[in-house]
Amino acid sequence: MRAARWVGGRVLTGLVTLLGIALLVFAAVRVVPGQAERVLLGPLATDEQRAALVAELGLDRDLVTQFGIWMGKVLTGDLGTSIVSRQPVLDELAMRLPVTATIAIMALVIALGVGIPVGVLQALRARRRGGAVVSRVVGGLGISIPEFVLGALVVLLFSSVPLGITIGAFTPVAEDVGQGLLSSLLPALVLSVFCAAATARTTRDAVLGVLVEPYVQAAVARGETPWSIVRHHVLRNATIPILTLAATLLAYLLGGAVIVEGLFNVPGVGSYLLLAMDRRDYAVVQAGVMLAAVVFVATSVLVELVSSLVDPRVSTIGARA
Amino acid sequence: MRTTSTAAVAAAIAALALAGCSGGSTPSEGQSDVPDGYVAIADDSIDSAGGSLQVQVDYDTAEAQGLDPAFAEVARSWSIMGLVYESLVTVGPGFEIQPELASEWEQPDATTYVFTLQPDATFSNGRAVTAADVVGSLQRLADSGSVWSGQLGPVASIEDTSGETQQVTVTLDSPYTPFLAALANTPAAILPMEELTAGTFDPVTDMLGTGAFTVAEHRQDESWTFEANPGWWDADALGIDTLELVIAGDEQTRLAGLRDGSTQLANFSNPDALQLLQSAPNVTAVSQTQSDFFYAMLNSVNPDSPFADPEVRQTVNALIDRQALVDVALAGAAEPTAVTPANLPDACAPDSVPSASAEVDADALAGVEASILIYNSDPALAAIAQLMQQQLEAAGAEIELESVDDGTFGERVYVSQPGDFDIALSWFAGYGDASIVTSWWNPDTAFFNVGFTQSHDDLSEAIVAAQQLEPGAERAEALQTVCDLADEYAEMLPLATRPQVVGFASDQLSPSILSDEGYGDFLRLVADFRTIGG
Repeated sequence: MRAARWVGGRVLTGLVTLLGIALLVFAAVRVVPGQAERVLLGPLATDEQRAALVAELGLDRDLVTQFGIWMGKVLTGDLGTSIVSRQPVLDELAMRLPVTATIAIMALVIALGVGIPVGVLQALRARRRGGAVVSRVVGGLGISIPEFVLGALVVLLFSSVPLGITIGAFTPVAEDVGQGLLSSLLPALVLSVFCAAATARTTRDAVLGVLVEPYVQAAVARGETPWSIVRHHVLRNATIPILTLAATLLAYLLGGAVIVEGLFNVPGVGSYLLLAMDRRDYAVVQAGVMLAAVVFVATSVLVELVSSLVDPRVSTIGARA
Repeated sequence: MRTTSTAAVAAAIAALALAGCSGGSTPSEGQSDVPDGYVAIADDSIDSAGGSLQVQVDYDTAEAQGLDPAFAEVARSWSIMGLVYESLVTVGPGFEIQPELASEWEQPDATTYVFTLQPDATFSNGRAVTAADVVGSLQRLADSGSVWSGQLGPVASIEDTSGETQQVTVTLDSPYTPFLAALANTPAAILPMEELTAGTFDPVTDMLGTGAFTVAEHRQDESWTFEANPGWWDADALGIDTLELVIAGDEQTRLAGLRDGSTQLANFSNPDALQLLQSAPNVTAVSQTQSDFFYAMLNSVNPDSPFADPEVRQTVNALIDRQALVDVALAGAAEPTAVTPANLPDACAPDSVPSASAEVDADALAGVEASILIYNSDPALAAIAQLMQQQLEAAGAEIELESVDDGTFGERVYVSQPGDFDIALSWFAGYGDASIVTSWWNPDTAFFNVGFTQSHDDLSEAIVAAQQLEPGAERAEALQTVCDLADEYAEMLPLATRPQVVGFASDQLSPSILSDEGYGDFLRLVADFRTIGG
């Protein structure tokens, strides 16, 4: 009963957060300079043309009514129509989300696959001379190198030396699985560098925190092998911060990586939203931000649920709070 | 082994980075036989039947009126729509007006044009083009209130005067020399008016033209796939079957596409692309001189702007070193210009206007505080703004730079009344006749600049007078008057032409590209392209 109440509370908090974000994005696109009818129609449009577009977009109604209509449509799955492509926004997002998701998941898999073992090793060798310095330098480089620098170097390298991957020739996985994964590899690699460095650093800190716990020292005293200690005691207890970070990274990646998408000409969500914002394509911006918010909130709730399974104290503490 | 591989990759990156930074310039390979008026000419001896072509372009068409050419406002829309639609005439080498959908035309007097249509012209649905389609299309454009409707000039009537051949007669209220050049742009395209009127064709969502290609697929901001139109009246001349336009917004992607050979042609507004492609094997990069030009808007209408004072505007105009803008900000791939684009016949010499010889005190702008507003989607604007900042600060001004997104720029410059800026930078299409763009110096007819420029009767009258004269010395003199007056009022300051670099894979493609272009259409001669090896 307590667990159900805790889960319900988290879901309710998530819904309230989404409502707040909906209000914010709705207001934001109307506050920024450059209204849709002005941006899209340009400086030479007549007042009649602008009025016609305003009416077509429903912008001639009061804000409360506009928000009510929008929310009503969103709740029924109608995200509106893009004023640029004149296609339903839902269809356009449905086309781009798998592209972004493929790259995001690949980047996360690479990041976790590299970052967790590296972080564990860094923690286990933290007291060795020079080990800490090297790990900090490498980790700092991975975190601080800008994506546009790394991405540009990768683009330059792969376009100048035949290495089997063509820059800019993106194939969706839905069309060709093998080619789709291959064309997603480079953007995923570029994105994974920051994620892997962040994962390694978080893992290292988490593992270092666990290594000094009495139960680890007891395991050492019992004569358990180092691998057994890491596997059964250290990793399990260091999981929660890694899990939280992974969820944050996934949500960030699913929101679209504008620079990397641009460099590799990937038709993902990020570049789509950026163009929509430039053109004041309200329906697309509102839907895209809400999509990213839903992903973020849902991932956060999911992580809390998983964390409570890994460590039941999480839900207990949460329920008491 | 692992160490060796890592070192090799690192060395490759270092070598590539250095190669990308290397200086120097050599003539483009294979360009020695190119005739005047072209920077590249297709090799007719190549049989490329069945050829397919991939072209990467910088941005997609995104117009308020969708795919309707009559309302198309930007160069890329004109290029893309121009693959499907045709106008009565087109532009050839040296901005010469040439036949397109009209096989010929006559001008019996200064205000009358009689066009004879291509006898074999059909829309891609198979229906023959009629004079009624031409009359309906041009009348629709003239009545549309779109940007281009104003450039058609004082159209009095458009009539079907067909006899044995399909003919259309356009009568003007008064002489208007740039009429044919205005007809040569995509907004004057001929639409299937029968289908449009019947409601079976919506020009906003579909394209149904008489041109070389038909649309097979369009993914907004991603790609276009065009297929050869077998019913095109000049289909035998068409060298490619399939044309894929990939929208690649990032310049590095387009450079990469040319370097690795995955794309056959790409365009760049960044003149540095010439140098960046220099070391790429099998890639030829050419600079197409455009009549498009950068200009600075000085806000004379907003009382809070220091440029409400005409003396300050004139001082700024005299202080701007346009040659330095060309050399430093535009990599030497442009040229200074006056109001009339420098590469067009009868254009004013940029060093002939009063500000070019004006003497200015070293601290002429002391106490002037202003900002330069640019939009962030064109890297050349940032370079120009930075250099202008240095030049004006050298005369004692305090200049800030503001870079905003396109929407904010449009709001502050074109929509706010008065305009919410001091100096703003942008560029104009220069078109195919020296007098067309001068219309923008009359805010009463241009509209977009009423928030930052004032109406001047003498300038407006000079513009109309110049547009009525036949090309030649008399018109050049009249245009000089326009340039001088615009220079003295110093509200919109022409700076330098806007370069365009076109790169192509010379081992895969033999293209034809004009040396001068007025509408930004580097694909104007795509029907002549020949793919090498099919």
